[in-house]
Amino acid sequence: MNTKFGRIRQIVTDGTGRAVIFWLILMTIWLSLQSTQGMGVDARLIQSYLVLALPLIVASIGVTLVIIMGQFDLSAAGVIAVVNVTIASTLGSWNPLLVVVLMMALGGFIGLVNGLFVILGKLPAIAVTLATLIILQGLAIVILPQPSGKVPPFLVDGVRAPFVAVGIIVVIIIAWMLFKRSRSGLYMFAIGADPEALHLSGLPVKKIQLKIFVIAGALYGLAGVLMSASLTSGDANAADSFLLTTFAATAIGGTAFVGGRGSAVGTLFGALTLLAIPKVLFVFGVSDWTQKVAFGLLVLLAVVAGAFSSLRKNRESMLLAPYSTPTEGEPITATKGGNA
Amino acid sequence: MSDQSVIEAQQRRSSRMQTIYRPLILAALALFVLVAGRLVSESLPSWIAVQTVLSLGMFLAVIAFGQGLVMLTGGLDLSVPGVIALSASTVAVWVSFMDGSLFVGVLLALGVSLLFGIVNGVLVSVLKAPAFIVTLAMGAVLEGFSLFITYGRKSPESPELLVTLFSGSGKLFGIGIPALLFFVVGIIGFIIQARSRFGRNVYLLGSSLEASRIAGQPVNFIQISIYAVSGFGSGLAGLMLVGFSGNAQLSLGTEWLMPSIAAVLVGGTIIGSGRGFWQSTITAGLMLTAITIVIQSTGVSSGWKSVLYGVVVLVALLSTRSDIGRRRRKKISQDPL
Amino acid sequence: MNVLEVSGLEKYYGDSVALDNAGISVGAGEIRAIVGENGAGKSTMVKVLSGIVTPDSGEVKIDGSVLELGVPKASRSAGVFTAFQELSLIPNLSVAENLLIAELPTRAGVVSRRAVQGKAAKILREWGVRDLDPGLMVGQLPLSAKQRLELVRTLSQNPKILILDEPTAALPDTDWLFRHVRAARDNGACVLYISHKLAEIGQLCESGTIMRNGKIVGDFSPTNFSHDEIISAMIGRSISMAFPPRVAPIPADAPVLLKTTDLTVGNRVRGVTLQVREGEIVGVAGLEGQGQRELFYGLAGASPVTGGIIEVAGTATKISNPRKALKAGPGIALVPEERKREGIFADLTSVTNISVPALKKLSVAGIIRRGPERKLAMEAGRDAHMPEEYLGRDVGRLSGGNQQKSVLARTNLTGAKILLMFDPTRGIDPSAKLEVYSTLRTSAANGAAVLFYSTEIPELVGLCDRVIVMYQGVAVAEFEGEQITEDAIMQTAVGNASSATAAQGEKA
Repeated sequence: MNTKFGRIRQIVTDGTGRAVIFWLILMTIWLSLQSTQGMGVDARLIQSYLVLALPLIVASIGVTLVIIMGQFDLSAAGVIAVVNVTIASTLGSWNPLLVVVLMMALGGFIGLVNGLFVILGKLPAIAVTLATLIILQGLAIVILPQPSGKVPPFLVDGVRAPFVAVGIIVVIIIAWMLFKRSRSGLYMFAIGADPEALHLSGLPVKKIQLKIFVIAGALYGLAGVLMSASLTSGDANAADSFLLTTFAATAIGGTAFVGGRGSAVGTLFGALTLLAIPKVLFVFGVSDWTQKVAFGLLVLLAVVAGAFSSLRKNRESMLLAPYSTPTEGEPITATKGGNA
Repeated sequence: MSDQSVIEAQQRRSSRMQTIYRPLILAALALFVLVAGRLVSESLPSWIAVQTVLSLGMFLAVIAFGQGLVMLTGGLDLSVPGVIALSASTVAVWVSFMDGSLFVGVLLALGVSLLFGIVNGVLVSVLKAPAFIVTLAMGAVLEGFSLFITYGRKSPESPELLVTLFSGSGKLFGIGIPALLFFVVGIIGFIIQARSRFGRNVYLLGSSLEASRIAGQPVNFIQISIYAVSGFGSGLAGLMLVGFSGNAQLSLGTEWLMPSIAAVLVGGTIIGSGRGFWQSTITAGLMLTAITIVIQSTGVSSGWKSVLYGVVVLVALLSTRSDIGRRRRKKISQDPL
Repeated sequence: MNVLEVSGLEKYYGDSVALDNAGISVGAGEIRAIVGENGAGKSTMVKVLSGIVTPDSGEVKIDGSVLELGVPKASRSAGVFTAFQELSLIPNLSVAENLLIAELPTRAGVVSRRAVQGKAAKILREWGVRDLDPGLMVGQLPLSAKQRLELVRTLSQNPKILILDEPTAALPDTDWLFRHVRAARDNGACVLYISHKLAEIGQLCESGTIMRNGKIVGDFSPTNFSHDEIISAMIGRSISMAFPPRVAPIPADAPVLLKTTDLTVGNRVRGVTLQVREGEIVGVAGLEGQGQRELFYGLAGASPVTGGIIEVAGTATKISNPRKALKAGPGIALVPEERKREGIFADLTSVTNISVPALKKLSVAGIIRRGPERKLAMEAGRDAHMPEEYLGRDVGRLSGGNQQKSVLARTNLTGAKILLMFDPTRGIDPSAKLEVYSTLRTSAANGAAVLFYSTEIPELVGLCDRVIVMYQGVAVAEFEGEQITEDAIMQTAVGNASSATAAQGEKA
């Protein structure tokens, strides 16, 4: 695929590429409309958009990891809610770094509980995480029945400081690049595609699965911290939307729900896209009911486009694999380059 | 061969477990919960409580029926709240503000629900888009439409007939109509899922999509019908809830989504397999409703209510996991069979 | 003295016996063949030795120490490495990553592509594989390459106990493998070679063990054995009774029910022309992965046909899905390759599995009449030699043989006259196989046109009127009647041009 069209085609058929393109289109529309309507485009606008997006990005990536592994996790919203109310009600004046670490550990612990039920208890992940979600949301309300409390100011200001949000995003991208080439990352992909094969090679499949659940939980914990910084106070119900938006971000980011493939970078842009949609709609003067409709339609569009293109890809690749002639020493070539 | 008959007996026992014992146990648990509710509230158990459980259980059943079919085939229908809102607002606005007849209003509401169910089905089956997101997004779109329909008007009143029928004020033989309808829904659901050709097609599809395809089943058509049925069910539930709650608020449906999924799961349906029985789903729904009612009467804060509910679901999952566990265990150590 | 001592292995799966007091002793530097029909227990024993399956009882000793069973890591630590029949490769990782999956080299926690591919390239070169790019995704490799990768992965671990389970199913060049197996033997490894290709065993192995019904039934010497005797021991009855004979010759005026001209399916089937007449059984032979699946599935409407013509009972037809295939003229029905995934409805009963094609007929006002359904399923099951007591059972719990019979019963109910049978006897015990053969014969006698792919050449020899050999998506040879011999088929299956042209010449 060396031709220019071939390259473009490759980017479009790749989930992550599509997510980035979709997002760029939305951003262009948004920002250009912002300026033409005289509402001003400045660093602060972008900054607040990014700060708002951070919790969704981090939480969605946690969900993506679990999906790549071939499992399901509905509990993100619950973890975020519990973290938020805990910070707002009791940790308001603690050392922010300690808060971050503690809350990530809490999230990780919840992830471990999920993992134990699913992997050792052999229960379907969707059922277990649905139950833990309900329990966590309940606990959040118990801890903080009415919205109140305060989040450590250092945290709030820290996240809004210039370049911090961008910095975090860059760190995320780098972390993903490293993780997906790490042993755990490769095993995560492998388990999503064929856990049996990994088991046959003597590798500790269950341990790896638990590990991913824990990592995802820790990410939800971090998302909870970021969300608290954004919200500046505690509200047990504020995290409810995360249940579905994390999955929407994952799907828009090009990760299929089949396991074995996906990308956190794609999800990152999926989350950014999801949060850009209301902004674009607002600038268009769309509000109230049309906003909901347009939001839903745009998500549908993104997902359908993705489904359509993977449909095409699958149908073509399998049947186009040519025969090789190994005895003549000709290199065995695949049809299209891999896409891990 | 005596070995054979032992195994035969085992098989018969285990299938009876699924189809008869489990639903009986769940129903008994529902009753037990109500009776045990005495411990937390003087007003329990009571006939009113039983009727309430049956009525709410009926609404849940109508939604869980379609949800169960969708889950059998490996999907999820998250558009339930949206369809309920749309159906409710359609009929309410039509009757209240457009002076239309209730009959036409009902047809419109059901028609629209069916239509969007079909759209869901087309996207999932033909385009192979993930059901989770498709139905989720569709739900948002439908909520938007509902907003549109009720936009700028004061909140519409629920049509009188619907209120009479479904709020429990209308009675037959002294029993509230919704409570009686529970059994009707149960029977109809059973006939469709367990005895009809459509139900059979759903089981075949859920058990193996590939085998269905190769055996010549019209896979896409069946899948679309499943989502259509789910949409219709939610639409029907919307009509009932409009009557039950006396208004057509947009949030009418939100509290029914998770319970519908929970009822299917606790009832022992395994997602994306051919395993799942309506009797178990409907009685699981009954049990979960009973638990909700009891928790409600404890006067405990809403936070603890959720915690208890979630714990109950976990316990129910663990205790009914006998067959799930067996299947999973067989998977890792390869069966030569 | 013996490197490997296995004794008293027992393993039950529900009602079926996979291993029945099985035991074997193999010394260092010995290449031991293990033969037996499908379902004889060979694969189960392999799985026990590899640690994937925990036996219900029994003991394995390696160099005198007892092996911890059911733990793959323990087996590997003890030096047991297996090249599995169902390849244990991970499709979404690269060749290099698969090769080194158990010991991925990391630099600061990251598995650098260059490092792992470099290491893999070295290993591949060492083992004489020059044409496999370590960076390729395994999922996109042709089957023969995958098989070679699986073998290299196993060999490169320098196993003390080397287990090869059907290693040459898709391998065109066996010399490469034999060379390395012998080298391993020379280094003191003990080799277990599971195969049903007796010719290869004669070439490679020094000793042999026969299994049947989970038991060890005897030993044999590969250099000095009678084909018939071995097969008799394997199947427990004389081979002459193995294949039911043709009932009556095909009438000269039997119409052609299925005809393809230059059929192409992507790059996998590249211009196949064949025809099947009423009452005929046409066999398809060849190494695995040479386009047979795409050919069959294309004809059945389950894979998209990209070129050529399909004529059903003389009418050119476009078959876009299996439903259309069943409705085309006399009807085309497929008995699929992967029974578990594509053939059966595992969670449902046999009656439900069988009655699928007749559901419309059996329904009144949308409700299925269960009495007539059961009766119909019983009849169909009987025709397929399925014991009545299995009708109420979940098909997923039945043995492979009975599962296949339920599939055949269902296929019969479709009323289709053109039957595409893809390796119908794979993974089935011997007595069930006989019943499948008999069903095949009966169908043909009743006027069906059967296209039959099998990986066991004796089946093709014993049952078919004509045999087509496929290699790289093309039919490279066709044999008829007396010409159909194991040797002829095997020669052309590996793409031997001379035999191919000779056969082509005869055909023309």
